[in-house]
Amino acid sequence: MPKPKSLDYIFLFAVLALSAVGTIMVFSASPTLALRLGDSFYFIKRQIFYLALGLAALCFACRLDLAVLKKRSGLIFLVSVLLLVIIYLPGVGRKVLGASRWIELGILSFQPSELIKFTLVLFLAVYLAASREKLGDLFRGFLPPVLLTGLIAALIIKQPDLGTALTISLTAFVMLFVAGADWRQSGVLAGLGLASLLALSLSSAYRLRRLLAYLDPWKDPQGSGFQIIQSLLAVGSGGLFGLGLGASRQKYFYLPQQFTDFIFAILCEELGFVGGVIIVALFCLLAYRGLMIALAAADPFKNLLALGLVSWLTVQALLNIMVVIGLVPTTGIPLPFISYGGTATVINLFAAGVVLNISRRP
Amino acid sequence: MDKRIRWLFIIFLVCFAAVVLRLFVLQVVQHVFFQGKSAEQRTRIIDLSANRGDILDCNGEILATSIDTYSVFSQDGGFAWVARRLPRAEAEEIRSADPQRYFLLREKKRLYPRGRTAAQVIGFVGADNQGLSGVEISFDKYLKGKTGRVVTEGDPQGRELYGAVREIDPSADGMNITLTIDKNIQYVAEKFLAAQLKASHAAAGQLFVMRAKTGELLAVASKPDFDPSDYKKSPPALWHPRCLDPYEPGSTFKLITTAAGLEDGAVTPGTKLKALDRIEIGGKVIENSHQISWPGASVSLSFMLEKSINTAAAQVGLLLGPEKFYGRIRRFGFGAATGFGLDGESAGILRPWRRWYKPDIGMITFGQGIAVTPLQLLRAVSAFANGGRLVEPLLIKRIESSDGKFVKLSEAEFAGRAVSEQTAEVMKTLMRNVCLRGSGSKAQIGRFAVGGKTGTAQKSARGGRGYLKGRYIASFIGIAPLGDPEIIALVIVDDPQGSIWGETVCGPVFKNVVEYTLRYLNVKPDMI
Repeated sequence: MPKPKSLDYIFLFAVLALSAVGTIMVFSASPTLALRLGDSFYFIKRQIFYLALGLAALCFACRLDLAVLKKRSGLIFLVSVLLLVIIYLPGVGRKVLGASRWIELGILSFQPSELIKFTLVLFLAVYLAASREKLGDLFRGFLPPVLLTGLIAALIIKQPDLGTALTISLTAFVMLFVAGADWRQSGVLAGLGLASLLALSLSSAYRLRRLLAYLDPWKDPQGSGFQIIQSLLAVGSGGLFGLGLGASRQKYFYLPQQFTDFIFAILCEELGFVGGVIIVALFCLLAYRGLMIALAAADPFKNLLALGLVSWLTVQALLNIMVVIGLVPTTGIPLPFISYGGTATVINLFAAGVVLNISRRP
Repeated sequence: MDKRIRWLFIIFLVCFAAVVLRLFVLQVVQHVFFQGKSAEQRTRIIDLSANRGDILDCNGEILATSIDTYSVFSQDGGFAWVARRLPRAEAEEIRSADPQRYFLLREKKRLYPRGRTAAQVIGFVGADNQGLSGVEISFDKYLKGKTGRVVTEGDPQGRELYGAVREIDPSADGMNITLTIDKNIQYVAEKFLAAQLKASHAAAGQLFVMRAKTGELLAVASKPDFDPSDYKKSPPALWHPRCLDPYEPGSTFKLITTAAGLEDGAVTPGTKLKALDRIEIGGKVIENSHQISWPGASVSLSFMLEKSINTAAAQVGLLLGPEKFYGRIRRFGFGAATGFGLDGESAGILRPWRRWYKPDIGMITFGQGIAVTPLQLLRAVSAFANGGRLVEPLLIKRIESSDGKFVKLSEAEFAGRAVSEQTAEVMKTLMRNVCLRGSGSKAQIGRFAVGGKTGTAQKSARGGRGYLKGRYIASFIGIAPLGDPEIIALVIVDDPQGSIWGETVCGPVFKNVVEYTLRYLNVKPDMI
């Protein structure tokens, strides 16, 4: 067992800074909608509660014995898959905006697709660490994790939640590739992935609309192009230094999902190019330090676990930001540490805690 | 494995760089475009309506005002009126049928509490409360006030944003306009005029009551009239104030001819004109309207006016000559509009003397071949009541902002001297004689000394030259009391049937209306 090292404070700083900015931005962007519920602090109160819960989860994950996590990874994964299936049972799931993503737990609700991101990475890390040598074998090494990920992705797409499915697929692909998957097999997989993504986009009317809106949002500014245009207006009107914290105009119901999936647009409007670049830099720092931690890990399991968690957070952040600034078609995923959300906040901070844990005991 | 992680980081780095580049383009390069688009969609302009000013009579009685009413509109698939300008209860009843579809809007409605009274002068407003005729259009810029507006920021549902940047341009209510009209005199004038039109089966008529010293018009009556609240029911020709249009004044113009001759010295009160049944001027034969049994071989100026003798008036014209006669007519203000106040007033038709036809020097002396507005004639005759000076006819007494800060007062305005004081005095005597011994006898009012002149003009054919056979415009203009003139009144009856003479058609109307006016104004009789 290597000697414990000190915590990676730079990684911790990036996580805490992003969380702090996130809380402030929820504070700024949510009251417009919250006022309609009769309490302008409705979402802020909840976000602060989630943040406290998340920080506790981070501390817990920091001190957790990862060997236990590794040993129980199969069970944990199985439970999370069950939870993902359960939302389709009548009376359990809750539909919001036409999507079944939540399980009601009294006053709180729980989003299994957030949990599965972590448990899938954990399970893949255990599997890939154990069968790195067999990865060259198509049927006994390469295909099982691919099919497993595909199955999970399919379950999530059915919600429908293409963004999350894309995030976990990309994360799994990164893990496979770094674990040593064959170049050609990876290449074929990437090609098949792209093809199925395209097929999916063309198969559903709303995804097709989103794709067309991405190609030319100004064609239907009041319809399919509305959200992306409103997002671009928010980002663009921010200018170099922004309108000032709290001064967003687009948050007044011009931009939908102004404190969840599109919070980065409001951030850019209020804090400008400078604020936006600082957030991008913090994510970049998080990715850099996270990958350094993965590199430093002696244990292949820890190496792959850190890599998987950091890749997941980075891929999700990049996807979210690219949607907001119109670089990729709209797909709804939250921005890690920044967007409002209960399950996501707790799980993201827990994952960060696990990475920090690995930085202490590589 | 390590190498692949480095590759991964480089891919991430490229993605982050792409994001930063895109942010730079959106936020710095295209900033102005997006800022403009965002501002454009949230900018809300709210008009602040201004109350239209009231129109009042000289005692502050309301002739036109605005009240709150309620209109119902629907918005399914575009804005559409359902019903406009109803009392609140009625509007709410319509709305209650389907409150999800129908909405209420408060709108001002113009109200004319005295109905048709002075309708042509007051005018009316259109669907958007804009002045369309009369005082309502001529003084629209004072009445309408200033519409204000608020430029603010709103959300997609139209609510104002919290902390929105507002620019407020406040509205200013319209000004109240006080007319010189007195609603009681106006009422009496309209009543007697209407009665006479009925009795004479006449097509139309006008009646003016003017304060002799100030030019303030106490009544401007015109029949037929219309209901300004429902103006569309009447033909548009009735909407226009008739007093702004010219007509051939006929023999009332002999007053001007006589005064011109006296002022010029071409004639004197003692001048004897030839007693002629007919006279030929420039190839045209001029005759008198009545067979006259000549008491002597000659005709005095007074007798010419009393019996309205065209052949004698023509002789005055010949004595003056076109150039001098024309100059004198101009001195009385003919050929130039008055300062009455309403837009669209005609300047009359008076050709320069060089363009007169040969017979004109005779015809114009008894008011044919010249067209004047009633307002011009009133102004001209005012000279006899004011020692030779012309008084401008006035309709507007005062314009006043609702807060009282702006006041514009109209005062008696003298438009120059037409004749000398001496000539004016002679004219008063001559006019008196018309009423004592001549065609004005039916205009006499008890112990008030009245002077005046009748007119019975042949109606000219519309547009072209020549006259309509058997169709006349009867009129009477007079001053009372002559001792200290208070009132000048003009009665015009268009196309009377039966008796066509100004004497019988207009004289009694003058008497009734002016008698009422003098008593109403508490004027002391000037005869014992």
